[in-house]
This record gives sequence, C-alpha cells and structure tokens, in this order.
Amino acid sequence: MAKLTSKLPSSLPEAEFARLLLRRGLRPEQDHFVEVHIWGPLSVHSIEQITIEATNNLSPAILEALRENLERAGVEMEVF
Amino acid sequence: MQAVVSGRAGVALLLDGEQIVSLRVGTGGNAEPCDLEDFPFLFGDANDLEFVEDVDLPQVAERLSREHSRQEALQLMLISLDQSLSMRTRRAAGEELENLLAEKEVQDFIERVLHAHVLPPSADLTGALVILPGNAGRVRKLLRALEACQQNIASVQYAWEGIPRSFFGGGSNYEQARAVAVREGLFRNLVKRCKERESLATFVSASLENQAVRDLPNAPVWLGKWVALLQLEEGSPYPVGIPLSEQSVAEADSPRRYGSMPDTGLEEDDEG
Repeated sequence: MAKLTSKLPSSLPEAEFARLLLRRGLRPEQDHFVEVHIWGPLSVHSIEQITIEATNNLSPAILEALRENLERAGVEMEVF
Repeated sequence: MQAVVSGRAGVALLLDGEQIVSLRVGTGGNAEPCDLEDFPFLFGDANDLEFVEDVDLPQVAERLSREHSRQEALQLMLISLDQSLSMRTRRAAGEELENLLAEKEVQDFIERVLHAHVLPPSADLTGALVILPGNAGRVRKLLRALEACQQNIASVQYAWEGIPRSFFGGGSNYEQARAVAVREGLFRNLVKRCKERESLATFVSASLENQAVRDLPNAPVWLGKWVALLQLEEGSPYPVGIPLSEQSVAEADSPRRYGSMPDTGLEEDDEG
C-alpha cells in the first residue's frame, strides 16, 4: 500500500490491480513489482494463475500439457 | 567470446570482454544487452548449463537452437507417454516430435537419455503407440525399440547402481560421471550390446577412447566394475572377455544389491 497508494484511486477497477503489482520495464532492473515473502511451504496450490509470454517459443503440445496439468491443480494459465 | 548455453531455459549468455548479452531461442539471433546479475532470472533452475569458449554469436545461436530442440523433443516424448494427459495432447506431442526426430542429433539425444533408465510404471507406452498418427514413423520406431529393450535397460541401470560410490572418488564425481555416461551414450551402448548379445569385452576400452569419459576420475575402475556387475546381472558369469585387470576390480567388491527392483521413477535430471 505504501508503494502504490498514489496509483490506487477508489475508481480503479479490480481488473487493473495486477498491472499495478507488476510492470515490466525494457530491462529487468526497470521492472516495477511488489515482492512478497511467503512464510511456510509453497506449492502449486499456492498459485492462482500463471502467465506465459508467447515469446518464450514453447511448442503448442508442451503448452497444452502444461495447461492440463495446471487445470488439475486448479491453476489458470494465460498465454499472451 | 565465452558463452553459457541452456537448451532447457532456451537462453544463452555471451561474454565478450566487458560486454554481456543474452540470446533467446526463436529471436532470430538478436542478442540483448544484460548484466551478470540477470543470470538467475535468465536460467532459472535449468540444470543443463553448458560452458563454451572461443565461439561467436552465430555459433552460439546454432548451439542454442540445437540444445533447445533436444530438450523440447525429450519433453514431447515424455508427454506422449503420459497417460494422465488427454489423447489429443499426447497425439499433438507425437506429431511435433516426429518433425524434431528428422534431426539425427535429436534422435540420438533422446535415445541416450531413455536408455539410461527404465520407464516408470506410469509410462503408457502401449497407449502412446496407439495414439500416434499414422505418419509418425520415426516416433513409432523409437518407441518400439525402447519397449523391446526395457529388460536390458533395467539390467544396465541396476548394474550401474551397484557400483560403490567410493569407486568414483567422492564429492560430486558420481553425479558427474552419470551425467557424462548418459550424455556420451555409454548406457545406450551397453544396452545395445546386451540386447544383441554382443561381447562386453571391449566396452571399457572403447568408452575410454572418448575424451569426456577419460577425463572422469577413476573411469577405468568404475567402468570395469559396471561391466562386471552387469555380467552377473545378466546371468552370465565372467569371463566373457573381461581383461584380467577388470576382473580383479570386479572381485574387489561384491554386488551391493541384486534381486530387488528399485524405485523406477524417472528423474527430472535424467539427461546427458
């Protein structure tokens, strides 16, 4: 909140929240993000959604297998 | 120029004096400036890093593409065998794999990895063969060959696991030796010899002609032990042509365990 208060007007729709938390820069050091430290075990069930850049050049079958495995774990996968 | 290449991550890092750039698969050889601090972000947990020297950008791009194809092909093979996935996805994996197997190097890599470990019980080889499209001849041939030598793969694997760790010289030597043995095709070579009932007599000397194998600590000792244990496992007590020096190595330590099947789970890092 301390970092993002000025960018969080009450009118901001929920769909825009993710963009506030993570904005990619041209280079890694220009990225803006909120780092969260999780105390305790982290598993696939800790994750709600995974976003994959299409530029990663993954094969369609590998992507589909990944999607199926994630679906079973209740994780949504988005490719953009 | 020096470079670090990972087919699994699909990334290469190139160092030329003070200049550092990264290269991603599928970007047409377009390198981007980066810093050494980016290393963990670029490679993540990839454990197939290769360090190469005296190379230029086109050479690194070609190597990266080759390594990426190998890793992708291995993933596609595992997907086609995975009975927890839909038939549609498994079939698509088989189709993609068929194209990649047109490259002899890719096929060679997959064979070397899959001959180093028996398929786990969850691997659905029969299903993979049924699901394959009719024109996936290369994949079908590879799967059938793999099916035919599972027993030999098991024998070679169990013999390997029977070599006392002390023979490798401690530290991470065991893991390094196994990685080289897989990558250089020693497992596959032994499996094929067993399958064809060929003599194992020349295996050690032939393996030692390979510089990467020769450079491993105590290679003649553990190679000899491997063959000796394999001959016991195969039920054909030596001599089947093992040189005397290697027989004495074999006698130095009795087999650690035989007659029990170890866990056959395919490990993530089962690669060369």
